[in-house]
Amino acid sequence: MKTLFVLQRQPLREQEWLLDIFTAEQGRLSVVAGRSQPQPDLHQRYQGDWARAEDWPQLRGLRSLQTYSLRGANLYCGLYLAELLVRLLPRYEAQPELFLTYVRTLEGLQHPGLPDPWLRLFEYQLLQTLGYGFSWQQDREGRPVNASEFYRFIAREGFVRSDASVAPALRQPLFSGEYLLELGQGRAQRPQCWAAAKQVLRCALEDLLERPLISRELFQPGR
Amino acid sequence: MQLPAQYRQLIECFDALPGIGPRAAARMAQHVLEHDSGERLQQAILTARKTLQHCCCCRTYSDLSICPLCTDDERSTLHLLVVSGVEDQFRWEEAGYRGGYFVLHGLLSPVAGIGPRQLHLPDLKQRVETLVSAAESSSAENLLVQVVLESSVEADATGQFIEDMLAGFACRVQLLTPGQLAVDLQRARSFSAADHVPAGADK
Ligand SMILES: [Zn+2]
Repeated sequence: MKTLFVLQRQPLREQEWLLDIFTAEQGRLSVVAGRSQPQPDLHQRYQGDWARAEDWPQLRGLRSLQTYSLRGANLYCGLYLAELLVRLLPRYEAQPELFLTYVRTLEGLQHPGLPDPWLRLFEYQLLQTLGYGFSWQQDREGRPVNASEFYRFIAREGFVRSDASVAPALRQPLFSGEYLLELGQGRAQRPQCWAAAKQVLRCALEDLLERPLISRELFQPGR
Repeated sequence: MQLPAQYRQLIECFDALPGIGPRAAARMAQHVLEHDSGERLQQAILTARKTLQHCCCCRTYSDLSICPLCTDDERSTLHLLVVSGVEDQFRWEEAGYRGGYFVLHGLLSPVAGIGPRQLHLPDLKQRVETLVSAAESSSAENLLVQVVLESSVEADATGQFIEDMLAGFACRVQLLTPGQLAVDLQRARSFSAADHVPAGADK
């Protein structure tokens, strides 16, 4: 038996679902859940196994182990995580660390507090997994980040020290070395730190996405 | 041996349909080539695609730009039912609902590329805006928007998004499961039946 999450489900034949699932051992893969299984849903940790069948493997012995009840904007955050995984994660590659991070992120999002730290940690781990990881504490050349300097972030490369008086002309956001160090040392408390992390990670992820994320639109219901 | 391009293209078309894998696609391609039902399927697709459109008001399938339900003056303009598919609309019509509809043709599912715009939620917002101002000018009671969806994460997100989107309007928004709406309609029916008990009938 393996532990799995459903990332996407689409109806197949009567009472059958084609699922995109996420597992530690095989990463992301497609399976079919048949009639005899409980109706699969997102944001639940399942136990199950699968065997080769026509077109897609057939899921067997599906059993829900835990339901993560995400409320308010955190519900949209859950859909955002799934969209990131489906859009960026290659199929059939073992992802033990990212899987653990995903579990922890869903757990964190159950709490009513601000979702930011959970989302940023997940995005950071996802980039590491995809081979685009970076350090908050080192610049592009591997030199330690200095608390009194300012840095620009370049996707796929990293932080570059920038003169605060010149950078505005480049129209790129500047990040204080102080915030980056707090993030890197896991002691970020100030909202400015998390705002910087959000900008940096969004820049890194957008560079890997062919088109904008649909889940971002959920956070602006008024528009 | 390379199979003819037209044959491969037919398989690709079936394979691209939701929930159809390559093997099932190959079986379907052979079936429509070998049987009369293939000809009928071809005609049905052509006719449906040529004549059907989404009603400009409720987005159900219609052969007119606005469907018969939306032009029916007898229906309540103070009730709007948001459903995920035309089969739901059919079900609630059978159950005796007599207000307006809005058919989403799906649920929010960012992983599948379905966001607020794909479900035409801006059109829903506009529809509610129109109904609310009509209700205000006739000094009638507030519009009631009922979002009736089966319970799932995508359905919850869809309901919650619609609720957030309509937060500023002078209307009530209810998120219901089909079971809850069925009970509501049942109750409404028994009330109206009681109203129509002939005078003098034994209680
Ligand atoms: Zn209509």
